[in-house]
Amino acid sequence: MHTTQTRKPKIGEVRLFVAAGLFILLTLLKLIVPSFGNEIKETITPLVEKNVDYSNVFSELGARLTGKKGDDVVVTDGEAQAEPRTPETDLAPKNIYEVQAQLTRYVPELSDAGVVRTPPSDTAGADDTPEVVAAFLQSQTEYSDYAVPTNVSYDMPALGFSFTSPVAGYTSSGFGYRLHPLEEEVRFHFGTDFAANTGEAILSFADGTVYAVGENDGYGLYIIIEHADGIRTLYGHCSAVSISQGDSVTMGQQIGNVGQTGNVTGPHLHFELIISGLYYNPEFYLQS
Amino acid sequence: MRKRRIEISAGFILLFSALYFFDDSGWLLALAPAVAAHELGHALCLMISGCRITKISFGLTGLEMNYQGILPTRREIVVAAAGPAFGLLYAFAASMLGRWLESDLVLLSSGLSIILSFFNLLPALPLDGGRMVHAVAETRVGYKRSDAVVLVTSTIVGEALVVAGLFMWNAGYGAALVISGLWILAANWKFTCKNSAYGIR
Repeated sequence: MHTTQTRKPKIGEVRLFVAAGLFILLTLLKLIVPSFGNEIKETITPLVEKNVDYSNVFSELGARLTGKKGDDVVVTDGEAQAEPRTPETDLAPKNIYEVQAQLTRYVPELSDAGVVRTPPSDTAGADDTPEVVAAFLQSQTEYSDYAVPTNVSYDMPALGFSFTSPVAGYTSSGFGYRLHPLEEEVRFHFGTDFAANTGEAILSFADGTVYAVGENDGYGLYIIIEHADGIRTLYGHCSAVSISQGDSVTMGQQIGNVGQTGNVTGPHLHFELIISGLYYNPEFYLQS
Repeated sequence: MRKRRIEISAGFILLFSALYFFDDSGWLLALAPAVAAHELGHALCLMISGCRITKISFGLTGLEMNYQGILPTRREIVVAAAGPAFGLLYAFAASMLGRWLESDLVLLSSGLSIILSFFNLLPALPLDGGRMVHAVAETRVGYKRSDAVVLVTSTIVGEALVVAGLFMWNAGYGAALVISGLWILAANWKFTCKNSAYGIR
């Protein structure tokens, strides 16, 4: 004879079954109806993770345990030089129309690419503060609480050579202190941003030699060109570069293309003017 | 090696499925080896101390190892510290491996291991720090009172995390810190309610 004994399932086992069932259900949901999961994810994840990209932070932490991440070294003439200072997040608009919406502060209108400016033959009125400088200083008065960074100069020295605007496009974000819209924080911007689409040609500011071509987390793919008297210009966030270190370039020659490499939210050219290690305002020279 | 019983609680499966459901970038995959290294540290130290691991249970309040054997209090502290120590060793290894492979996932694992190790050093049960406090208290105030001591520190840590988390929440960050504090308070809840069973007057 055969007796089958049925025993009542213990409460622990019931719970286990329910939990396992839920797990299978959720996995199926995730695979078959990913949009449902995404909606829930989008509501809950920001609640837990708001304003902190944990994956990024932890990966950075892991990397920094054995040395600093993203420490690029630019080698020229056999001696290693430190890479340019990493800029803060360059906020670029997603399209050209957003630029105009974002212009809540004074941004000078710059001339098109390829328009050549020759330096004045005489230095008359060298004592007067040029209009553009005065206008810029006026726009920065609301940030008078903040000291000018030590590696920055608000001067407008004569460059001594002809130059041209490096790209066709609107400035979306100018040099100097600005209110970072997303973070609601005041930050100093060491160059000028030109809003442009990916692929747009980047032209050399003036005659010179390519000092460096590099890549790092902040600037993305960047080019530094050295002109007369050790004046240098930097072109950041490129999508492509068409010259190499050591090449000679002429004013207006295409050196690369606009992109959104590096720490940015959209495609634009980040342009810096550096003289003897000090950052100057490129907009002083490029006004139309 | 004798067979060890591995127990997985329903609560753990629920927690795991929730995390897996929301997991986007595969960070659960990065977390697993970090946790494994941590527990391996505990296990190795236990085995060196002559104990035998009888059961590994996965619960809502973490991973627990039951062992058979005598463990002097001083050794208990070392066993508890072995987890974070191994975790940090793993973090170094993963960091170097991640740099070599240029893999964000491996670097993520390293970072998670660092955070896990340091978080476990907080003086709250069920974290390793709490176990260390318990062991130290045992040598000072005796077996019964040590439970009360660690309960107090655990509650303080839990509440501090919740308060700090609320400040962060207010500053515009997420609820992660608050959740960690609540988790610690929850893990100690049954002790606070039934403290008479532990001889606390």
